[in-house]
Amino acid sequence: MFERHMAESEPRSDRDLVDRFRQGDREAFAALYHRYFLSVYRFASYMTNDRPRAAEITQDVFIWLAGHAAQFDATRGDLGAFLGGVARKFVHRQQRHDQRWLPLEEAAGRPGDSADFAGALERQQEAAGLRKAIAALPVRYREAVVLCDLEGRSYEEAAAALGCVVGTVRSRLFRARALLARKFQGNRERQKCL
Amino acid sequence: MLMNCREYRNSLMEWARGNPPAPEVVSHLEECPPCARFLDEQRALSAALASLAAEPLPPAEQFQARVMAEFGKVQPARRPVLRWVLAGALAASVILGAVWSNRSVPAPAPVAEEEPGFLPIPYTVPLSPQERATVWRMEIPVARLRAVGYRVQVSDPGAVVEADVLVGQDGRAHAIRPLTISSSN
Repeated sequence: MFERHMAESEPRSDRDLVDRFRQGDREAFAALYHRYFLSVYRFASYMTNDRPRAAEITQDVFIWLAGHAAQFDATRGDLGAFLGGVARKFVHRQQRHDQRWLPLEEAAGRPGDSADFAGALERQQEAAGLRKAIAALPVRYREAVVLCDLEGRSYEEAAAALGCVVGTVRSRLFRARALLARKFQGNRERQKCL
Repeated sequence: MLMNCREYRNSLMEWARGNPPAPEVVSHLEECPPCARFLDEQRALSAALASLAAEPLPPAEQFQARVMAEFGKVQPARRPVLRWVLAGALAASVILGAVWSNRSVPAPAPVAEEEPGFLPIPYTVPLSPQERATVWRMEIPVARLRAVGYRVQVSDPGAVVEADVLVGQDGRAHAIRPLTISSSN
């Protein structure tokens, strides 16, 4: 599910690094942290639309890994996929606790107080509106759009990560994009009117 | 919208995501303004999502200190000599225990996932030691088991497996113990 982000002159396998850090090797654990940090953080950030919370979840994922490395089985997939499952679980737990669902109406971008928006500000507002709209999607749709359109995963990879069939991923992504496009278009037209 | 527009919408979405359409999709677009508008909206969305995906993210170093501090609590620093001493002490205690005790001590109750036959569902967070779990017996299609990562070697793709499913307090399945398999025929 997650990809590696750090090139190394002598890359060691995930399995090797996990074996080493289970014996107390801090450098091996730090290497894995650097390898997968961005992927875990990005997933948590898109899923929560809350950067401080995403940072907490990301740290929790790696702290969990430090104590549960025995759960990782390299024959079943790479560590990125394993951490993807762990991150997904932490995001769900956090959302169950918070119940911070945003109704779609609230996800719309707020109108600004000036008619002469600069292009950069407009794009910034567009991005903020889109992030809110993603956060307001039902979680099954949000996961589909985060994995397929923001993480760039294939349908097969997303299906494996979500524990469903490819057709389900396709239909969820279609629904997600239909909802997002409607909201996104509404935001843009609202901004044009300002 | 024409009657068959719904059939084209998936292809249009894929087109907006960068996957080339079939010729009939292009033909349909020329005669259907609603579908052309749908494609425009999906393309705008794709561009916005691409911008979002390219946004800068914080450096890993920003949060590294706390993670490494926690790692230090969970994983003690590597000390080979100390490890050997501890291993020796453990071995000695086991031998002494075997020699001096002829009583059978009941083993601690195993964690549910360690019970014979339960196979953890790939890439799910395992049950914590304090977490209560219940076992549900249910029939699960082989296709579903394969979708979540199990390797099931049966020739009939429509076969159904009767299994015990270990369900945690959060209502999620954590492990499966297959019992019998029945063909779809």
